[in-house]
Amino acid sequence: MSAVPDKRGQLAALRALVAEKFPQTAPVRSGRLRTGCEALDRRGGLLRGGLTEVCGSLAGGQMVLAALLEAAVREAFWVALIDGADAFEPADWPGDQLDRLLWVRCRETGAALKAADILLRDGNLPVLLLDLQMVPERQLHRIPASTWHRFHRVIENSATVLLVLTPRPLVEGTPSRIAVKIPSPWKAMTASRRQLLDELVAQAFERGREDFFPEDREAPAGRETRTPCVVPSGAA
Amino acid sequence: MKPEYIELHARSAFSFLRGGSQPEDLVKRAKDLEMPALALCDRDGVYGSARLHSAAKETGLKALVGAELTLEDGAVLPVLVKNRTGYQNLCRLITEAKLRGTKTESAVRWEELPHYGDGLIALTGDEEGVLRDPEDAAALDRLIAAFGRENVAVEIQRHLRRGEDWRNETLVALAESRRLPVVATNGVLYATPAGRQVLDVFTCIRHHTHLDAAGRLLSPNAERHLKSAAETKALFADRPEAVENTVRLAERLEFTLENLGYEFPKYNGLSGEAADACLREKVLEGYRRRYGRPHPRALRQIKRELDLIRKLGFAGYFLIVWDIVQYCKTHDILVQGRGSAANSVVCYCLGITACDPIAYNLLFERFLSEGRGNSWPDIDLDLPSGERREQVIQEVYRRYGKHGAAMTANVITYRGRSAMREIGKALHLPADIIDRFSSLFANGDFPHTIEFLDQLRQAGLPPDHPRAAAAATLYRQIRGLPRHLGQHSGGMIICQNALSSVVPLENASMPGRVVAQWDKDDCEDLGIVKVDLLGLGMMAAMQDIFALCRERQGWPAEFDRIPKEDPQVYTMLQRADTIGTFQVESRAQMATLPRFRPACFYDIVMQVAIIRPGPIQGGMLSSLMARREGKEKVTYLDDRLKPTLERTLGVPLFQEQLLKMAMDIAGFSGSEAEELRRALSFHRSHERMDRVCEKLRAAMAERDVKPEVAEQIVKSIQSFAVYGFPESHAISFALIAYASCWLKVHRAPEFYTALLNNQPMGFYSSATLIQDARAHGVKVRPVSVLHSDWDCTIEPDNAVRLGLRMVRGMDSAIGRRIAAERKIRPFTSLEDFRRRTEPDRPALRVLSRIGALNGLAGHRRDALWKTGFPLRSDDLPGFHLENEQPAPLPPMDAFERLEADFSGTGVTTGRHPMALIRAGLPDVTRAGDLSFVPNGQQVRIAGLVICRQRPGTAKGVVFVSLEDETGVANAVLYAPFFEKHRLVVTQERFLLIEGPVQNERGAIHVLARRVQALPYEACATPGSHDFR
Amino acid sequence: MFLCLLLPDFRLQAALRWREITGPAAVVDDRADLLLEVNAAARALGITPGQTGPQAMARNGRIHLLPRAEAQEHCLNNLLVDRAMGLSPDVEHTAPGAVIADLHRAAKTLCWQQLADTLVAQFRSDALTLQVGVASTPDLALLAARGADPVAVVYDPSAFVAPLPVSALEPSEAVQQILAAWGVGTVGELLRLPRSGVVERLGAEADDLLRRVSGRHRRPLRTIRQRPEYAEAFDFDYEVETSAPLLFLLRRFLNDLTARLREAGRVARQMVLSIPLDDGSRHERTFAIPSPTADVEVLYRILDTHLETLQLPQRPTGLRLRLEDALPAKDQLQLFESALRDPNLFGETLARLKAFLGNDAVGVPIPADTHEPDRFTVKDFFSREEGRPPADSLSESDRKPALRGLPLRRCRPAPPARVVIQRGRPFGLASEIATGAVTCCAGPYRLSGTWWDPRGWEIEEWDVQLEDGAMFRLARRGRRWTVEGCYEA
Repeated sequence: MSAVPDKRGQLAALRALVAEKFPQTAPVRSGRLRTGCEALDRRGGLLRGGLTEVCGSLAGGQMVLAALLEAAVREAFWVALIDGADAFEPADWPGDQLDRLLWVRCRETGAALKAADILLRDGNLPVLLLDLQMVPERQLHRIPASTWHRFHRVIENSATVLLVLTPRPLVEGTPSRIAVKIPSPWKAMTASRRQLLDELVAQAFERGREDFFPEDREAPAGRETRTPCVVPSGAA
Repeated sequence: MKPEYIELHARSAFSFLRGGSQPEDLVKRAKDLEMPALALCDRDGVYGSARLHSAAKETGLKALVGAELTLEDGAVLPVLVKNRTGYQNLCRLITEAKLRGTKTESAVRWEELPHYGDGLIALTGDEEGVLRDPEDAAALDRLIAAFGRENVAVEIQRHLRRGEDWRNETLVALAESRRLPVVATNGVLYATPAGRQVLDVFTCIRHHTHLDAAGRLLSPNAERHLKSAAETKALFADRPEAVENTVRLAERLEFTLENLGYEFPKYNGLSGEAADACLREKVLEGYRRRYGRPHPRALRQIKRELDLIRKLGFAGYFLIVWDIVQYCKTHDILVQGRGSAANSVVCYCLGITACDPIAYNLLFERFLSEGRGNSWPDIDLDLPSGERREQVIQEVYRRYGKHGAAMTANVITYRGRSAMREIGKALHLPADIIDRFSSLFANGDFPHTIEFLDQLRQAGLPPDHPRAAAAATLYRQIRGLPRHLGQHSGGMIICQNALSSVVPLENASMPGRVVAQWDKDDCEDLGIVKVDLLGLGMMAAMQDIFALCRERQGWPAEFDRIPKEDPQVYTMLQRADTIGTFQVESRAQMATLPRFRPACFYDIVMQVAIIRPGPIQGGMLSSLMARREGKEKVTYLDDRLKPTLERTLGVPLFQEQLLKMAMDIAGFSGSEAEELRRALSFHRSHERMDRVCEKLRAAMAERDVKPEVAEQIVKSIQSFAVYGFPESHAISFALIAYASCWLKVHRAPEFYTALLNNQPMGFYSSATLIQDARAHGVKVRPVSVLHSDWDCTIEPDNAVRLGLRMVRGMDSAIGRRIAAERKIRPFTSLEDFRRRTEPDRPALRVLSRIGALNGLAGHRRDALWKTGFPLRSDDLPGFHLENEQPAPLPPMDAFERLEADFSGTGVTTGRHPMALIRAGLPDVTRAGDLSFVPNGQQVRIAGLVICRQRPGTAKGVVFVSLEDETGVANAVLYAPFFEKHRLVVTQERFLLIEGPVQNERGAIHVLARRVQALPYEACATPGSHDFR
Repeated sequence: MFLCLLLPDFRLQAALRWREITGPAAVVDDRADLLLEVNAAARALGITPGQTGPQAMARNGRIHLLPRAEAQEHCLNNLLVDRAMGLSPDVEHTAPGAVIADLHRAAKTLCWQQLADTLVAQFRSDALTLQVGVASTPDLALLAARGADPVAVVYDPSAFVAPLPVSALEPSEAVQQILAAWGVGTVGELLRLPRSGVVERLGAEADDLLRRVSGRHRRPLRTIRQRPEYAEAFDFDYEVETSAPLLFLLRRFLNDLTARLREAGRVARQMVLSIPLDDGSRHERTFAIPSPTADVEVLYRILDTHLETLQLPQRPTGLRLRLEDALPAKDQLQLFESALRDPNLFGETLARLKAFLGNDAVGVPIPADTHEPDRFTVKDFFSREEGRPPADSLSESDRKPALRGLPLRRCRPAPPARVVIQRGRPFGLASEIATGAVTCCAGPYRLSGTWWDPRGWEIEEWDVQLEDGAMFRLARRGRRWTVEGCYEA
């Protein structure tokens, strides 16, 4: 039965080789995930190994998903969408992006939280997006605060990005919170995705912790920073 | 009222699978919507324009001309025609692309556009258009460079689809940046929303898929129909100028097909008076030859005709046709003009036609009248089918050039079976249902005997099937829509300058042929002159008969030398002994011959015309029959009609009589009468028909015709105007029919030999012809390498010797080699034969099997054995000594020989297959004995099915002919009975039919009450001719 | 001696298997619509092979025309081989529906007739008609089986072959035609011809034909070498109430099977678990192994996760497990595509998610190829390449333009709404999720499809913005309005 460990060893060697030959496939160990959307990357990118709450308008939340999927296509990783209200519309997304998506359809919040838990513990997917934006208020109420604490514990030593999309600030003690919106949603109905991402308005609030973001020079340690990163780069 | 919106971009079903409506339906819809003009842009052609034009002329709509051009990069460019230059450019541009492309694919090159752009306006198209990417400014700039800024408009469409708002906004911004007008169109693909279903089915056909699988290939909605100005203005409420611009743009399109610019070619460059003089000279020359001595009436008529021809400027046309006829005559090609040309003494004198219109009192106006405007007289030339006709066609191409002459198109439409096949596939119905439908209704549709849903049910699709309703709707919509463009069998059009600037030309699937985008009706409507070069198998056969006569130092060697009014011919006709002859050999003809009893040439003319849809539908046949038999009194609706109808016993039979009736009783002029006929036969417009009928009624009322009589006259005129046969045409056919009968009676060996050499032709197979020959005392001898040529020949004792061409699978090179070697020196042995002719093994085998080597071998199997081994070239002569010994195989018995004959040649010179099983059919009456059976007695007949025929005339009655060793027995199956036994009747080769005998003055048939298969699998059978 | 097992009218028997058909029946070649084989009832009506479907229908309208059932033919062939292997290790699969077993090693005391009768009875209990031929050479055994009723034991070869029709030897089309032309109908007639003359004319094939009818020529059998199959099975003779005994067995299966795999230097790329149930049905599941392996633990965990939540509708009566193998190197290429750290663990995780959310709730979304809204499928993460419509299936006029605008969040199901229309446009909206006056609207967008059958649909859609800035998609089907979803709130 010695074949198995041997094979494991070969596998590790092969992986190292792959990482060397195809750097884009190797898990990025840096503390931040850059999405390519300027408004989200303002602070160096999305937090790894921690929970980020994204609250704000529905359209803004969709654009965060759009930014992540663009990055996923570009850098060949997968995004799990835990869809708390089974509201994702596949027809409105390009095929190459859908190919990078693991869609977990939930009909109620409890199931969504359990699914998130399972996926976090699995640790295979680098980016998890728990979408609670369309969830009715009365269900949101019932989420125990300990849930977020548990999630935090699971991922704190990993490189996983966990985004929780909420209609209003909900996650107590979140290390990072981003408020997003689209400046003029009606006009956005004919704009291209690229335009929309360029116009995305994001405002980030972070509780800085030095050991958390080692490369983040901008984040002063030890106190909560309030960094408004607004101003779309395109025409406002 | 000032027009507010004009549709500038519409496709018809003539975009072949890319459009869902007939041009006529678009016109009708445009009229309902009060649209003053409509531009048709069919894909890569002007296929539908002619029909749009004709239909539009009726309703007063202005039919604008355009086309969608497929460019080399796949973009689709709609262009609209401003003026005649533009039209000519468009035709040339399409012709260039089509002649270098394949039949289905052609592409215009971007670099050609500036060269042919003059006179055209370019639109930018829809999502397939030049601005597929609405931000592609470079494409737009290329268009501006090609057509000029003032001749480009940016097109916006709104089909109520998500995403088009952005597209349109972007297009408008692009247009503004280039200071181009924006026009709104609807990119129409069908007249009404219902047409979307047709288009979806067409899309499936185009992509070889079915509706359930086609997914997003199908239309997302039904918005691409013709929309009214109000609807369009509402749709583009945000861009009113785009709607207004359509009217402005349409005003710049001054061209319609009315001023096509077609010019008929000049004979020898002669025009005007020179041509007239030349024609006069040729006609007078012919007059002297035809009549020999002075004939004042003919001379008067010649003068009258020549005057009219001069007045209409048609001299060149007659000279060109005369020229073609001359070419045929000098190249030993039998030719005879027919159709209405036979009404003209000029044509008679020029040798174009063979019957003297003076002698038959024919009506010149049917051929040519002043009122026919720019429409040309119709001259059809019958030629021997096959190579000789092709030779004439190629000669015309040679004389007028590839861009100067073309065959007219033949629009192949979706017919019952093809429509159902495609619909069934699109609806994803089980293949066996589609197949069963096809084999059940193999011979077209007969809506008058069976409802469509009933047909479906018979094929295995119950009426409550969820898709039966859709199938029925689609069937109604798709039947009759164009499917693809074929070439007309003989219609050629030619033009003085390049024909390709009058109508686009494309390659036909037949090499060496170029075909125009319009069919013969379209060409006629637009005043393009057409010469029909039709192939008749009988002409080819007759030419061969004359050649055989010459070879055997006999006569006649020419058509004109056949003696007239030979009593034996009429005896034969009255017996309905007409298998193999021209026109009068069909089952329906044979059934009427004994009753009609033709006794003079004019009777044959009537006989030819009788079996046509018109008179029978009008109930006139029975009336004519009864009057001939003296059972009914000869009366006239009005005494004024007596001179016209006298020769047909008061029953109108011919189109000429229709014209004459209108002239005699309503005082119509010749041209008015012709106009009446054309209106009535113009099947596309009921309105036009109603109008002339009104005029006719009014004129009759004025001339004191009793209203009920007038109504009867209108009705009879209506009923046969559509189907009625021109008398001149009937005379031309009757001439050939008479000649073929005379030859059958007096030159039987030559007759059968030539027919066999020209198969397939006519109604009957070689096997039946041979049975018929033997019934007429002509010996038929089997194929033999010691005696046969490639063709069938006549031996000194007047027996027909079957040729090697009869041998199935025989390579003609081997066959001709055998005949040639035998002529050099007779074969002395099998080995000698094999060494000299080197036949391959399959050829040897089939020759042995059919007994063609008998004489070199003991019997068929002996030959098989002795030729069964490979012969090496280095074997010494006489090496195969064993061949001296008889083979160890037994000779074939009668059944085996029959089987071998049929499988090897399709015919037998031995006993008839029925004779071989006769002993097993004690209670079956032989065909030859039927005439002794009293009328009404029940009999059983059995035989090989040689003909199943369902004339469109007889209310769905099916005639089945069964052949046995004594002749042919005929059975009649009424429609309901046939429908019940359709499978048995259409699928079985031997049938047993039971029912009462009906003997009406020698026309004998069995009225089928029971039908069943006669199991005769043991014998191979010659193929029967189905429903021809 | 050689024994031939033959299923006459093999394609017909295969097609008729599992069917209860009485009366005339025929199996039809789909492409040519020609009858291949007919049963006795059909033959009695004058229906023969080679006729077309419509011709057969003409003879009798009630005939059952069956398409060929190739999968069932495959099963029948396997069954034949299986039974033959029970008689002898040397078995030849001679033709579809025919196998020959070499019985020269069998006991001399064996009674051929009795053995054959047993076989016939055995097949009859499976509703199959078997013919058995026993003779001294394989070819004669086959010929004997062809003519058997239902058993033929040949003791005198030359007397046996003489009356046989030559077609029984299945000569090629060409040779058959020549023999027919010669008037040679029986083997006896063929044998009467001079042998050298026949061979000279018909070539090597004739030599072969003649050899086959001689009782002395014993050709070697092309015996079947069983293809290795990594499968195990067990049938319960006791009632199984929990998953524990199943898991216990599965672990033992896996131990054995993976050992064999490792011996052969192979890995499992797929497992097929099949559980026959009390009512004759079976529960079957195929597991793709994300990263092919021969590791017992990895494979076991997959089965364990599956059985954890499995509810069987019936009591299991047995257990089957088959591993499909592959060479290790080839399948590890998947790693290059996969940025997953532990694909097998991820496979388990997905199985767990599916277990409590449902099978179609976890995976990669694939929009359906239709214009109809909210139509999609959810593909298994590891087989997501399948089912995607090829890019060129979109029509010229409908190549999907680059997506623009905000993606919709769909309400599933869409709540009903009341919509006030003014000047043909939505003016006010009332529904459980949104109410208010419409300030902006875009539309209508019309969509319709499936018009060809009763499932036809037609929708008109509008995008609206309310006073508070919230944006919705409304849809009208007939007179019924719904809020399809939300763009912004």
